Amino acid sequence: MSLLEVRNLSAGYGQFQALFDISLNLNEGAAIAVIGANGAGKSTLLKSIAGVVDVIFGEIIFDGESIVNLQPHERLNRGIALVPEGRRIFRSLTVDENLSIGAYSRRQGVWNRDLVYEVFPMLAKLTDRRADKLSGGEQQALAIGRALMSNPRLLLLDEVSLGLAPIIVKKLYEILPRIRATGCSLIYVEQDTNQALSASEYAYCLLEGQVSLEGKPADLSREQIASAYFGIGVNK
Amino acid sequence: MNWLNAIIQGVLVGGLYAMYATGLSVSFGVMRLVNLAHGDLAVGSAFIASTFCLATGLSPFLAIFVVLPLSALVGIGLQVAVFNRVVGVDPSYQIVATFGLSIAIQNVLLQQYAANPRALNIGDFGNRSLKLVGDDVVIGLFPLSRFVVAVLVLVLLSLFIGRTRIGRAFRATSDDPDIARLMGVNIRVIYAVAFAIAVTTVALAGIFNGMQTQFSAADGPALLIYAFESVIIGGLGSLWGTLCGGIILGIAQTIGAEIDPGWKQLIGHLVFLIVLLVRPMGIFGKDELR
Amino acid sequence: MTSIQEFSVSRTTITSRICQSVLLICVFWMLFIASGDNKASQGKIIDLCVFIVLASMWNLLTGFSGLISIGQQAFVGLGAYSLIVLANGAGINIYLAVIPSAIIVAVISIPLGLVAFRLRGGYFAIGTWVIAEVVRLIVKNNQSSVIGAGTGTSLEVPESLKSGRYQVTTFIAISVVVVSVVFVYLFLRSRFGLALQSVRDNETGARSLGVDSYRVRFVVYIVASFFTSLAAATYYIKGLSVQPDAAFNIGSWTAPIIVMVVIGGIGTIEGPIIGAVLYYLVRDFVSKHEFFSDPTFLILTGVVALIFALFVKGGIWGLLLRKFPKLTVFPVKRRVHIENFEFDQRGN
Repeated sequence: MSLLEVRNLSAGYGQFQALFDISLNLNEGAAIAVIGANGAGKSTLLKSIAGVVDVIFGEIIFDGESIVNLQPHERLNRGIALVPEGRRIFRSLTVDENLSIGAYSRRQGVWNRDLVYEVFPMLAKLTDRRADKLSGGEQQALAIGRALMSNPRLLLLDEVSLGLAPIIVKKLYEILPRIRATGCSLIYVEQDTNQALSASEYAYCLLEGQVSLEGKPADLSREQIASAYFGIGVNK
Repeated sequence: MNWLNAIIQGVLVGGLYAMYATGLSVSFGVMRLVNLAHGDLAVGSAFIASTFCLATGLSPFLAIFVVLPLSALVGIGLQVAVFNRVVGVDPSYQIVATFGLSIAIQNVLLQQYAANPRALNIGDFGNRSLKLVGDDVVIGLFPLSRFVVAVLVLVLLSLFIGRTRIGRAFRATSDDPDIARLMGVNIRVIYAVAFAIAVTTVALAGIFNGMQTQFSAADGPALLIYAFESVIIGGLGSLWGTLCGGIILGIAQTIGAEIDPGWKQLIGHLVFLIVLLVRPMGIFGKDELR
Repeated sequence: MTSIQEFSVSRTTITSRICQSVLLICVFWMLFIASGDNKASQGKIIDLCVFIVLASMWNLLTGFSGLISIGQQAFVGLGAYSLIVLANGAGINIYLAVIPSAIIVAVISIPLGLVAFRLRGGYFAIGTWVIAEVVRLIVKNNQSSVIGAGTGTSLEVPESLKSGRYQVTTFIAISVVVVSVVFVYLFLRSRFGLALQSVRDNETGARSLGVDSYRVRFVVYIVASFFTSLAAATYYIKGLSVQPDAAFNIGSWTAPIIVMVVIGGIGTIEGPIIGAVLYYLVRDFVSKHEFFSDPTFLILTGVVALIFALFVKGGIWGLLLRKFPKLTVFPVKRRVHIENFEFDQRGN
């Protein structure tokens, strides 16, 4: 059963078009990776699914209904949550308050404060600390926890590993199966391909705003990925 | 003993200034909006209260209960019609738009009420006072209760912003409006609530001001400046700082007036400029302005 | 890849030459009136020239440098009072005192700027206003007989200069407006102007490229103070009487300036000129009709400023540009003319 279907999507910022004719499919409960070089349009894709980028053309179907015309908070109410690039936690709010804002939509589900603290023990002892006083890894954990508080059916993870030490990235990725176990589907966007591919069933590679390669990670060769990633040595 | 008296009067008037400043602080804090018509909204409310009292013969204190809900509606209306269009755009358009609004409101008032000053008559209550230290220190009962109300308003507001769900959304929006939207916060609603609070508090301040001193159509700009100075002296983003800023400004003005009546405003401005030079983030400010 | 064969870079266009010629004709026409005897027309020309200068300077601050000022009346008043001090106090010829009084104000603007630059954006705006108020109050409380405290004073015109005062003043006003506009144009074309606009568009980016945004803006602030007071001094040679409450009045100076620029088009050289001319035509028309009382006119002014700021951000010049994209009077941008050029957006 398809949870999210993106059909022939073109999107951009004002005069600048960043995505060209992108199609993508995600089944309920699945995890897919979107990889690509810096500026390939990965973040724009996630943002257009979350509703903060203008869609020029195309359709986004979520759970059988078109959501292209919905506001970001309406999409959240249907179960789409974004962990934004650069974490963007609310700096002047405490850890606890950040989680409360995550639950602002009041969507019901398994996730609550206690479960988030259980999954991210590193946050549990920092509940009253101002978020700008956290380390990078803690901030990333908080950003994920904040998104989970809305009990999403689809979690969009934008560059989770960016700027973090490998050991912390590993820790965060170890938590993702627990999130999937609650029935939540995932889309990872990463520049670091290995991490994302190993955690997903299907992958799309973007190049200059278009899908340059797709397939199951196991079926994709290193050469194929390299050429789709950098746009060299392959004829489309 | 005149000095002690001046300081006490300064503190009391400072509470009023803090109430003027609260709305400016809230609208800047939540939506980075500087509303140059802020003072004119206070004067406008005082005129409406005055019209209400003249028409019904009721006390100005009852007028508060009519004017405040009205001003909340005006705030929401202005937010929807005007300010939503200037939030987040180049601040020069904000300034021009609110400056235009300020000129328009001032002249509508001038046309409606002519240039004659008005006052809100609260009768005997305005004359009663407490005498301390022999008979040297005189504290007006009305200025004292006005100060208490101002502090109460600030307490309620800081509880609202610090403890409630919408208050949290206020702060989240102030930190990062785009992400707040992604978390399901309808920032247009937040902005409307913020602006309703801004207009209501400044309207209350305007009415309180009119109960003690005369006001006229052209007073708005001066009130805006007092509000602005209180905010900057106290430090951006701190409601209690704003109260202290208002008090410091009030004391500076009453002491200035004590030295020479022509110096009342000047000394107030100079204290503001000194704070700006010595401590640009304000006395209680956390973030640097630049 | 496309190979670029023939291309040329230029600033001037045919339309810019035509428009410049039209402007030049206007200047000559004004000079013709200046040499005549019609005091009423001369007075109008002086006012218009003064306001074009004031508007252009506000636009240089706000439109090009992101320094939103609502305290330009500070420099108008200071210009007026410097003129009074130099002419009445030191006995300098009123015409010769114009430039020195502007220099004095430029010097005074340095400490004022140091204070104002502590604030940013909208708060900078209110800060400039507070500074103007402080200057007004200091002047008002000054008991020296030259300044005249709250009641003000008048510029003393020696007997020998009384005849032909309007003519001379009109010539000065025309020179001031021409010099100011040409200055703004050359300034924006210079390396400095480029830095200024890069700071306005993206301060962090410009800083990272080595543009000292503080210094660039400070220089603009001083320059704008200089020209504003130059225009103000010119105005008061015509008007003669100076009162602090009038000379430092936000409503009579900064309000119309802002309205002019916003109607004409913020951030363009042409906008303030168009706005000032339009404002004067409307004002002139309105003053002949009873219906438009002063408050009514001001209400309309405020509403128009509001509407333009919300819905017509580019002003009238912006609307014209949308219809005629090649239109330009003062070309700042360089245009690249390339023959046989095919451009593929995606670079394939």
